[in-house]
Amino acid sequence: MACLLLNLLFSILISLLIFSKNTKAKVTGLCVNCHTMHNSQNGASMMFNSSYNNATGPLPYLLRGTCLGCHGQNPSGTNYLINGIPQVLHAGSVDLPGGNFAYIVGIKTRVGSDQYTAGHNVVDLGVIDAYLSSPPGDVYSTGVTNNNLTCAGKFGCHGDRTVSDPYLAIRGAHHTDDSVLKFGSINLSAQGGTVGTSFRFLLGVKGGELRWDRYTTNETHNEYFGASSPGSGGSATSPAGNTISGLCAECHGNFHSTTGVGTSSPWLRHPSDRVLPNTYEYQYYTTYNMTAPVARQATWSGWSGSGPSNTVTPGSDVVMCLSCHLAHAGPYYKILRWDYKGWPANGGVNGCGICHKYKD
Amino acid sequence: MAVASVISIRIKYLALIVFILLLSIFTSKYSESGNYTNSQHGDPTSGVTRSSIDSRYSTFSRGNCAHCHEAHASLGGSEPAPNTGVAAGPDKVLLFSEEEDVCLSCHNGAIVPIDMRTVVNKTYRHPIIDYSGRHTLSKYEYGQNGAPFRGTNRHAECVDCHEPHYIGKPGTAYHSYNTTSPANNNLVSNLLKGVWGVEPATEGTWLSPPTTFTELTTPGVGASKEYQVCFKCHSYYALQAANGITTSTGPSGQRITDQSMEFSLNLKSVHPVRVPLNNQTGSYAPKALAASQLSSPWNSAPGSQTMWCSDCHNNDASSPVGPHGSNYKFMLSGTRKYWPASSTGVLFSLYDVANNRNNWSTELFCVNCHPLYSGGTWMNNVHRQHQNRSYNPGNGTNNVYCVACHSVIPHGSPRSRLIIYRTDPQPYVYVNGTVNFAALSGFKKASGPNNYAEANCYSTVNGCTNHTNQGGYD
Repeated sequence: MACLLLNLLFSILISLLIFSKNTKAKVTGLCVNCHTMHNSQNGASMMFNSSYNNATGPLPYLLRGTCLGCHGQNPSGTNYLINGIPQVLHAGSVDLPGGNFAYIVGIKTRVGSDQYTAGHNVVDLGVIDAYLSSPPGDVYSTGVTNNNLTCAGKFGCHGDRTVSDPYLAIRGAHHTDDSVLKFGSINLSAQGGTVGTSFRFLLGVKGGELRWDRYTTNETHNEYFGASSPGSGGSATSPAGNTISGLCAECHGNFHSTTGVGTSSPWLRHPSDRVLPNTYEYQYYTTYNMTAPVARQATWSGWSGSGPSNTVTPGSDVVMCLSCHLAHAGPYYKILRWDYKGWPANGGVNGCGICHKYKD
Repeated sequence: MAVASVISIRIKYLALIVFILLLSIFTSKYSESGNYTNSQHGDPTSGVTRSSIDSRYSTFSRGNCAHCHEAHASLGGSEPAPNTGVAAGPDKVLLFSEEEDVCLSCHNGAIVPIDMRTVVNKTYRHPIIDYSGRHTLSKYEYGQNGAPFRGTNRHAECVDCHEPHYIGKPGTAYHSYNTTSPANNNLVSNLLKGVWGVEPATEGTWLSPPTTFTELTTPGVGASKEYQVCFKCHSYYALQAANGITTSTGPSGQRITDQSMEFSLNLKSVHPVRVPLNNQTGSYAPKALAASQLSSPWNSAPGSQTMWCSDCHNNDASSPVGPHGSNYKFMLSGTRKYWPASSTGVLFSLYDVANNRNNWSTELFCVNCHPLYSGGTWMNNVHRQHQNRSYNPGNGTNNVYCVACHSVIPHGSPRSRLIIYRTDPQPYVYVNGTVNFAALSGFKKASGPNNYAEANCYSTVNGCTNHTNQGGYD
């Protein structure tokens, strides 16, 4: 009996630990957490006091901060959530799944990268990429440069990329019911139509959201949406196949096309949105590995309720851009998930070997 | 006292558990080294590096994948250099160049001291530089029963014989006689580690090669013996010749034949590239040569040793080793590199040996391992008896050539001692115009090298007819 009670308590504790990190993109709580009516309280500005807010206010939509102003409220702090707002720039040990822009600005320690190779150098950080003036593989001629890359809109990743103004591009998303993205109520067909119903406000991208922090166990991660082929519907403003890789391809399209990559192995460039083969060395990747995650196709049973899985199914699951890279920034060269550049001298893990078994 | 004892025992157990935990941590760390990092290319201190070709790669650790592969064919937003020999643009398998150009970009005598580019351009060579676009991926070339090596697909790229992710490190001899386990002389050298090969699933017979093969493709293992790599191209697996003799001609001007047939365990005599002669099931006693018929190191374990194909077929220079290319026909290796004729084109004969003619002592390939004649002494009585004889296979009178009795392709024979009969087909018999130079129609092995008598052979050729048909021949 005592054992049963202990188990019950343990289960409750674990549940609390897990679900307290659950992602809720639809904002709840006090309006003042994000907005200010007059940008004045007792005569003081209501702008978030972040060195990366880049605004004295007032701001459009009565906001208290820019993208980084809200999502990088306390760069020297250690919390990845502040009032429920995920922090893309902070000094804590727990990064978001996309990484942490703190590696670019040097708040967090880089390993083998420099301030230009650790992440996407959005201009909001004040660290302009000195190496790349435009996105590599930019077949759609997006107009994105090292001097205009930002978080949202035409020159960013989030929101509507047909809209130049980042505030307009993301408008309304934070207040949209996004339950179609949450495990337990996922509805793939209802995803991607608006910014608010798109995975991580990446317009058109589908997926399954579970938590804000970069997962620490294999079972409790977000799930990315992938496809067996890059497809042909991509553009500078629309992700081919509604996949996360399709989103990357809006700026890096040459790495996600049949002409640039090839149509079958041997590939000319590393494939993304291609099924991990159930043959050769690939067949041995069967346990989800955070160093080289896979995406799931629309046919994946986990979308309909069983939730995130620590099982990889060669022959079905998909290689994606984020199998190797983080989206925001990380400690390693070229935003890779592991210290590729330093391997094998570093004696560490080579993420390539996770899929390319026996080549580690 | 009892309490103290219990505490002491618990401390010991705790210490043991801590020790086991530390040991497991240490061993798990130690076991992180994989196949690639144990290879020469993957060595973090002496492995592959492209930094001298493109300085941007100096940022990558030695041994890093990026020195050969570029995931996006883009580095710093531009195509990585070099891209030699092929059109600009991304290359298959994400390589920075294509096929042999990848390897030869470094293995050119400058970046890597060993100059492979020169050796693969020699006259007699594997066709590494001759074809492009035929090789796909090594792992895609098995499971197709040899089709990728047939007909217009026939090819030999570097990675058909070498697995660059598993290739061994120098430091131990790549290619030397194994004195402690001579039967293992045919195991793949470090240079061939990990590459896949084929093993005949059944044994062939003369002019009836094996037609089914087991593909040895276990990742990180591949072929265990050198000939299994060679058989990928030099057997029915690729050749598809029902009698083991193709209509294709190799660079040395001879028709390409099936080595899996020529080294069949069912044959009566072979060079021991597959099993020691004592295990050659088709042979009969004495299966091995006498030690006196062999030179060092082969005279140390006759009958119990094996050998590499590349013991005979190799670079004519001392380095780099391996049958990549040679300036001598058949890529014959060793001090003496001619067979069956000397550099002047004259067939070697016993008369040459006895009378020190035709550069036999410096050119006759067989003498590298078989001391035919030394200090006036022959190593078997058959050769001694025929040193000054002649025979008349055609219109002329000829000295007794080596190819009068032995196969032109001395890999294996359905008769003992690599003997060939007049009825055997070309290219095993030497034919010049319409003249068949083979002399024998029957042969049986004697109990020792000096025990041969007239009755051991049967011939109908003028000059040899004293060897009448006594029956009982191989």
